[in-house]
Amino acid sequence: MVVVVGAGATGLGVAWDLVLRGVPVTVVDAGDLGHGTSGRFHGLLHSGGRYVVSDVAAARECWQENQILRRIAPSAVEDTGGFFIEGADEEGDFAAEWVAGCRAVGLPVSDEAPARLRGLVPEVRRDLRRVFRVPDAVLEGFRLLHLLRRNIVKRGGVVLTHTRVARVDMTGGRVVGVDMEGPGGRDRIACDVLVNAAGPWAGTVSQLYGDPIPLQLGGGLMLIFANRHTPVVVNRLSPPGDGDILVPHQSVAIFGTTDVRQDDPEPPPVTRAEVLRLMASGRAMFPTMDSWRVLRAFTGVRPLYQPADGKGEAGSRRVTRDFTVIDRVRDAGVVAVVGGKFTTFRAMAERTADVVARQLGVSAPSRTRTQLLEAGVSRAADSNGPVVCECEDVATAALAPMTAEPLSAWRTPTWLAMGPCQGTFCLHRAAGLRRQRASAAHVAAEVGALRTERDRGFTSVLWGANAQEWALNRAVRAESLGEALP
Amino acid sequence: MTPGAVTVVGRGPAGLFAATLLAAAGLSVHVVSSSSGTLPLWSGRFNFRDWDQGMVVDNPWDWWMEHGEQHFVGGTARARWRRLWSIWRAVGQQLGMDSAIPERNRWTVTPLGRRRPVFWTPPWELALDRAPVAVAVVGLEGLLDFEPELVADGFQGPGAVRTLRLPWPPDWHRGWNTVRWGAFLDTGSGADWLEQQLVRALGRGPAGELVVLPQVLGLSRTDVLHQRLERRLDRLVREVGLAPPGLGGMRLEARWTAWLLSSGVQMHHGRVRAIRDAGGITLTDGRPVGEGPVILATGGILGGGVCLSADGTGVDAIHRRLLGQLAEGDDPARALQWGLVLGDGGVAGRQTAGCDPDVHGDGGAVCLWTAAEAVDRVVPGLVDRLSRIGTVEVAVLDVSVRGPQTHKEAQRV
Repeated sequence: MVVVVGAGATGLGVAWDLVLRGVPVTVVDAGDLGHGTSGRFHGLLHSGGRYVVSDVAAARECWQENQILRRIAPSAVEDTGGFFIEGADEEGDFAAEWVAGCRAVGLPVSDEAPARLRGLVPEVRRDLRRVFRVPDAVLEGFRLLHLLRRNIVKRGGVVLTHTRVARVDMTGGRVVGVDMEGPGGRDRIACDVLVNAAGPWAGTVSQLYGDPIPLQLGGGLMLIFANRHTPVVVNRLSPPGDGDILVPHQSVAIFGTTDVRQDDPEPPPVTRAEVLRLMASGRAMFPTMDSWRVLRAFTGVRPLYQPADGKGEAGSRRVTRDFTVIDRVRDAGVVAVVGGKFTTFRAMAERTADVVARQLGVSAPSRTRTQLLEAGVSRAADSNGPVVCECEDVATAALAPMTAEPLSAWRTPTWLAMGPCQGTFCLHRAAGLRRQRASAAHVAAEVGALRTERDRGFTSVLWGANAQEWALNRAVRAESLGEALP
Repeated sequence: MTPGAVTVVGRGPAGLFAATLLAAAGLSVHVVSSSSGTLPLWSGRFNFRDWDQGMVVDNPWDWWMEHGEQHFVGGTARARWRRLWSIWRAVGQQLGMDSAIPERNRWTVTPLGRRRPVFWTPPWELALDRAPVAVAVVGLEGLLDFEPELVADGFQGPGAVRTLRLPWPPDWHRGWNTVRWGAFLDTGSGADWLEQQLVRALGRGPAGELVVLPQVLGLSRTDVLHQRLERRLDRLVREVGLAPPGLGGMRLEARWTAWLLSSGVQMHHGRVRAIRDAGGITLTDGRPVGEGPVILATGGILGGGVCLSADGTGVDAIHRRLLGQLAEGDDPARALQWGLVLGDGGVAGRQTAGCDPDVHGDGGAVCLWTAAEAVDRVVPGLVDRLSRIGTVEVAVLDVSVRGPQTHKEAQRV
């Protein structure tokens, strides 16, 4: 038995890889699926173009994984394509270096007329020097996580959310079991290998087995705009920096991101100063951005492995420059995986699972490169029954399978409460469905928790129409629904 | 000098109330609005003062006597409120909603099953002063806005509560929202269906049982259906106001607008660009509209045209003035304090003058007060002189106001 800590892309990826090799796996996470870094990214399936100059190995891996994910998870990938744009005021000749980098990596890139991009994205700046097309795509992060879980569970794996690892039992210098605290109380699982895929919390988890992992954490801010604004991913052609990617997602667009050092693994609060900084870089690509209706802001935390000597140390292998598999202590049965990008999660998972398989003496090779992640019921079947959430068109049929779970778990599989009203006009309906399975007190607590969670990203971007929406939402909750306001 | 004509901007409750006062006094009135007002958002209830620092206010009359000084109400609060609610009673009667003005707050439940105070409601809406001996909470299959189990949570108390659910009507479709339900129950076959289903589902039931339904009893024929159900079931039938769109507010708006039009008030559609020195306003398309002094009744949501920018700056979009600045970490509710005060360039509405009705539960009362103040500034003494609304005489209320002692005791309950 292998216990994987962390139900983000990496943890679920490792579990998927292992169940395909016939290894029994249990994934545990203290929160919901992807409540950490995986649920808090811009949703870009990198072509690798962003890294062809700064990190050739990462670029190569992105391009490879980009092609693999399109094959194995078509229902979670939208093939939008992407553009890199160079404004007339960019200094130096980064473009030449960049094009050479793309060639070296084997990334298909085509030189396009700026007018062609303006035809697609009328709001992009007008003074463009050069425009290149690359095979970027959009990755629906939550959809992929739910796909992974569904497929893991279908093959006998177990995924436990809202379950915290309380203790790691090391006997004779080797992991033998894990004590967990979940909604059903305390429980113990015996295991042969523990995989630490806890992302920003990997340092905390590593202390439970006495081999602290030094991490460097960086918080990043992203803004969600209420309209799509572009049918393609738009990247700024310059050395990677803050606020240089716009990614269309269904009916919205996400703009990111920043990078601020921090110590806390929890996502940092959104500050007005950082929002304004991000908007300033946004304006340099899209001059009308100030007038776009903003929906919410969110932050994510990137964890990077940061050993004391600045390089690797004995027992750790830097697989590429941005992710690391650590099994320093021989035969302890503990493997940690840190860093990486959502785009390359499968490769990270494969290499981590290779280490785990070796420790278990399992010789089956990884099959995730070709195994299709099967989608469940069709979207059409999900739309049966009365409408619960009008913004995102969520019907009772889509929610029926999850009424036994707390309301917070309904959001990411269905997009409930993720639209412009942030659940104001529909959460009471979801609460009604939930009430058929839970006590009044539970429902009240779950409604409160979901409001708090939604408000966090909403109240930090109150300007223009969003300020009015906020005032309206506040009035509806207090007046029509009788909720106490914070 | 009294003007012969007045222009009111905004057609929410404050705008329509201002227009009503002016029209009832015989002035020529123009109402200008860029969209429908906020009435269709709500159930049509008017609250007075519900909460004080999180505690239920039992007697809002006394509350205003005690605390009015801190707000926009001076020492004349008792007489003024009595006057305004007396006028409101007459407006209600004129619009076919003959509900008394209560002496105390009553309570209702919300679609989330929360119990909350409530003051004036139209005759069809739930408002109780004590727990009923028995309640039947009746939901409609497919209407997710009203889950009987959840609503029943608001009726904790000694009385017996049962929950029922009526099956889908024959034509039901998954896209039916509350407005569509209302349209269905306005039809003869819809009303027949509801009556038959209720009779079948409720049976004889315990004596004195109150029947609680979602607020979908039609838009235009509500009174007929409501009375028919009460007669046939031999029970009190009351609706619970739902989340927007609110049929109660839509009924109120439809009746009110129709009556204002029939009283000679002119309604104009458009967005205001500027107030004209010569009287009336100019629309963004350049058309001059209205005449005489202008009353801004635009303080409904994010009061009086407060515009927030990304950097936290708040601007009064009507008069193009800087209102304030939110600093890093400030509670955005601070922006509500910027709602324009009455007086020079004043704005009427629930969220003006630093009022926060979502925390205090006084939106209806604030609408009445600010609209009346705005009218009195244009025509001094009008509100006190007003003797009738249409065909209904304004009968001044006899509200016995108890001392502050009672009020404090009640708060602890």
